[in-house]
Amino acid sequence: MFINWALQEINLKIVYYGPGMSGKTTNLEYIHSKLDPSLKGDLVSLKTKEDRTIFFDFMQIEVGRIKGKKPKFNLYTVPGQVYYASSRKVILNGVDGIVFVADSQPHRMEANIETLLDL
Amino acid sequence: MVQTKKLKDGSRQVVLNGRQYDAITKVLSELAVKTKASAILFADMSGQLISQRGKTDDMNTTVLSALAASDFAATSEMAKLVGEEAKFKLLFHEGEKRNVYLSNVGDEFFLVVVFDVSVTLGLIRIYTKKAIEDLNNSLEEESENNDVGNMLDSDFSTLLGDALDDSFK
Repeated sequence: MFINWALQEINLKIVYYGPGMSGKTTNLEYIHSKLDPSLKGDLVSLKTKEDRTIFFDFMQIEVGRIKGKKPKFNLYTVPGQVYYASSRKVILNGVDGIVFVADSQPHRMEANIETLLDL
Repeated sequence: MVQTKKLKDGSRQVVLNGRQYDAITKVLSELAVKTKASAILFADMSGQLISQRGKTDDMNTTVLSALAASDFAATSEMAKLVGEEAKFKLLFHEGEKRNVYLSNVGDEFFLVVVFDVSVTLGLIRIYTKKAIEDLNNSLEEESENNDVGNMLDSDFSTLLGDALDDSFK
């Protein structure tokens, strides 16, 4: 959490984390599509040609002033593939909250556990 | 020093006080005048934009800060892979119209200077180096003790939850 006392801003970093193809980017895209346009920033996606997240997706949500304070949520996803472990680590720097997106298919249980243990 | 506290859940709370913010903004304004930079951003290594100066209306500086922080993080990993024990201190991206110069300010913050190609890199380097010294001095000043607990009371949490629910169409 980063608090800028002069501007009364509260910045929070939330990271969507989970195995590859579990739906982290889809979660963020859905939130972005449903949010009041005046409260959201652009959704930025760094993807490969195959539409897989290579580094992260990012968007910011502002909900206006609450008791004079201005909370801002910075939402990130991490790439799920095992070989992007370094990217995951760097995006988790300074995180305040994690949304673990698990894959509900039975054969992906091992991938869910592996990703959770890698956290 | 910037007020930093480790919370029970393992996350970190960083508070920048009013005096530090004003000092940072002053340094950025001076750097903008001296270098004629298009935009100057000051952010923390987790990607949170703290202050900005220059012509930033046509630039999504929130996203730029997030990308710049990742740029630093990625090159820090790159440094390890090539056997560099310290982190790379600066990054430079050369474009056809604009260049971007990124430099760390201590371990926790960084500066992004976006400037026209007509401005020489040497000029940017000299003034940025001085600005970083000033920024480090401002950040090391004794911090006031801001009462964050009082700021984020249970009433605030309830109102924030309601505001988030109302944010969806």
